[in-house]
Amino acid sequence: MIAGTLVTAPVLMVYTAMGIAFGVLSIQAGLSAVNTVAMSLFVYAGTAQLAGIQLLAMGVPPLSIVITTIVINSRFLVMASALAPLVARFPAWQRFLYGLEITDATFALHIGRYGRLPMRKIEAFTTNIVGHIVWVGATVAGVVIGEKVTDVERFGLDFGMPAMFIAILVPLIRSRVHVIVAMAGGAALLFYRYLGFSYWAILAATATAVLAGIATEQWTRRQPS
Amino acid sequence: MDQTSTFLTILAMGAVSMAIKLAPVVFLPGRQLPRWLDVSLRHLPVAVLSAMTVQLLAVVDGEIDLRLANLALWAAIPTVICATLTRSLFWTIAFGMTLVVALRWAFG
Repeated sequence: MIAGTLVTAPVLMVYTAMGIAFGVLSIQAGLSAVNTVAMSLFVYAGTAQLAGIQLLAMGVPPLSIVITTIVINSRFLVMASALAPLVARFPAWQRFLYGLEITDATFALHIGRYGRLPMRKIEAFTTNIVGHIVWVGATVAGVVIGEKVTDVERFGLDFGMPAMFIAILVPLIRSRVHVIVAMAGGAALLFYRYLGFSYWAILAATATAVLAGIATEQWTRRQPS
Repeated sequence: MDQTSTFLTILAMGAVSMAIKLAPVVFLPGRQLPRWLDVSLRHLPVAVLSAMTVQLLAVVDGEIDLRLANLALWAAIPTVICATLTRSLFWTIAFGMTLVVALRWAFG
């Protein structure tokens, strides 16, 4: 339990920063305190929540908001598929509980930490549950300070998430194929964004990068080196 | 929209989010995956993480922003070096956030 919390400490730092930022922005967008906290409790996905408060503030019809949520969160289908082998030996109800708590951060942390090794169950669940509690707690803090603080960027809160992704991505890159996949992912994201893809850009870029990886493997296998 | 309708919308957002996260971990294990999917899964973590990192850094308010004024984007370069040298989640995040605050204070 303690090990799980310690491993998660940097992630909790990011959750705290992002949760506060979300709380502040949500109150400023006109959501009530209860709805702001409900969003962190039930939706539990930063990007979808940030988009959600903007759409709710704009008075977009609920069905459109739910569809946008599906599109934004479709990347979790990809992430959860990559996590599935790590939890394959868990009983179904534990996989269910594990699935509920998947976020960008826990995905990155668990893929980085467990890789092809068996997952340490208690550690993983502690990460998930403590993470969710801190996310909701930080949202409450953001709600409380939402009327006083207006500029979340001044405190670097928005850089917590990309910094964490960088910290987890760098050690995952262990071969030339990985370098190509990473560069293709970044370049493809810009390309699809440039073409006007909005929320689909991440999925399209991921697919492109995966194809680039497979193609590179095929090609290097054929080259006698 | 009043706060009650907002709450119901949030519940619906939560339901679809949970379903998307749950489905693969509940239903995929124990199934023989097609070979293309199995091969793809090996590249997925690096692919999706790099795409999301670039999105967070280079897309501001829905637009690509590669200007010098996008300080977070340029702060990412020293942050990558820090991650390479320290291999530490904690120090990379602490360094990155401090750097961004300092850059925005100096040039923002």
